Amino acid sequence: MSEMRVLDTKRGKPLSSFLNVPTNTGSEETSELVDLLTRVAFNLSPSTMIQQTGFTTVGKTGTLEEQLYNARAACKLQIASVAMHLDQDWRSRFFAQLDNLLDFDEWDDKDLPVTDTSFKTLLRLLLLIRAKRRPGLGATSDGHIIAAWTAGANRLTIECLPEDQIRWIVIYHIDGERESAAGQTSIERVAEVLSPYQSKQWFSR
Amino acid sequence: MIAQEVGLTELLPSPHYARAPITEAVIELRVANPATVKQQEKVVKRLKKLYPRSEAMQAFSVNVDTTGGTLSVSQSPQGFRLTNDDQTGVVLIQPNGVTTSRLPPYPGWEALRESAQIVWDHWKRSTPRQPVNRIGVRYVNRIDVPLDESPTIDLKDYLQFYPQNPCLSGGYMIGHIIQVTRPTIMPHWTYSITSTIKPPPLLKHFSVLLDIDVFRKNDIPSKEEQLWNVIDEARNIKNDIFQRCITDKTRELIS
Repeated sequence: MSEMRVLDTKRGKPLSSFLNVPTNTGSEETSELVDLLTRVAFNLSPSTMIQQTGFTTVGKTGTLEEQLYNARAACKLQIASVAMHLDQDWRSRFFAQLDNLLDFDEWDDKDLPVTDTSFKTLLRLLLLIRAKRRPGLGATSDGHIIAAWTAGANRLTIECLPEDQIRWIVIYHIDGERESAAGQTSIERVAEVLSPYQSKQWFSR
Repeated sequence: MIAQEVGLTELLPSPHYARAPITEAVIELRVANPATVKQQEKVVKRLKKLYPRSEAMQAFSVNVDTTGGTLSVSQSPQGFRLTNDDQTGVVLIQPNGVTTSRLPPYPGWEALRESAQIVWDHWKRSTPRQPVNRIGVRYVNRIDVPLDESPTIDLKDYLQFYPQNPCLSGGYMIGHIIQVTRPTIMPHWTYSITSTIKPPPLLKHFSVLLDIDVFRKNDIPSKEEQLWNVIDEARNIKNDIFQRCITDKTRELIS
């Protein structure tokens, strides 16, 4: 983790000192505030002040075990940031599912760990549809998380892509006939595209 | 204008909110003379069981001589950032003190205070005794407001702390950052409130941050028990400020 600080050599101290810039603990909100406040300082005194403060990301270097640890940590941080919108029991069980999914002993070393951009899409999807039932979790070899729900013989599988995009596959039985459908859409449209398949069967208890 | 003149004579009580919007709660203690890297490493080692993950922090200073045009870059160690297994507990061990931070789910003041006491205790055991010269309690709140049909909200409906600006266009506000720093109604304490809009983590929502920092730089007790009583005071002041900054609509959202 690193911090960049630009000093005014005449005064010998950061020019943002007239603002109360908090200690950067590295959380998303604090990092953003520190960045914003230092930008404000820069704008207020452009002739003498250039400052930027932030954390470098840990990155995907290191051993597979470290990469998986970092992926778990990034996912849990994202869950933590919306913890007030999640039921405590739901959240604990979801944490356990993530630990199992990203378990070093079970992980195929050819696969990429789940990316935080894919996980962000999953979390935003779950909060949007207010799923009472937690999905089963899986992952693609290129780091996309997969959520799957089953209701009897009917199955919904969603692959979470970055930027709120999803690929979905439905297997649905109607009057003894097996029907399947698939598509790609944004999570904002998920309720509409799944409405012909009675999506509540997967999300409600 | 003094506090009594505007009717501020006592702190408001704080009700319990089922969905408290706290995204980070922090207790910070700073000391006058910096600890050495070795001493900081000792604290890290002592805390390893509670905070197994540690990263070294580095500061890069770019010095710009604005008259001569010369530029130099230097790097210096800035301490360590420790995290617990589930990433909800963060500790900064820095040359000038310790910061204990808790991310959601917020476990309550007592748990945060206890974590901070443990960290402080290990710091004291590993560094030379010296007076505390700044204590601070800081809470970052993120209020997520659901959007119905409108693409934005009127901040006044949710916060008593918002930027005032003349109506220059029919467009809605897409960004702001404001900070106010003033003494509190309690002696020795200063508060700093910062607010900004941030991208909402939830779809079809509008999110605004309300960061409340309460700190004190003088008359800090040297006795341990009194020190923590004083830190408790900061928490009450912070609660009072939060109550005064929000509206009933926000109370409804977080209850």
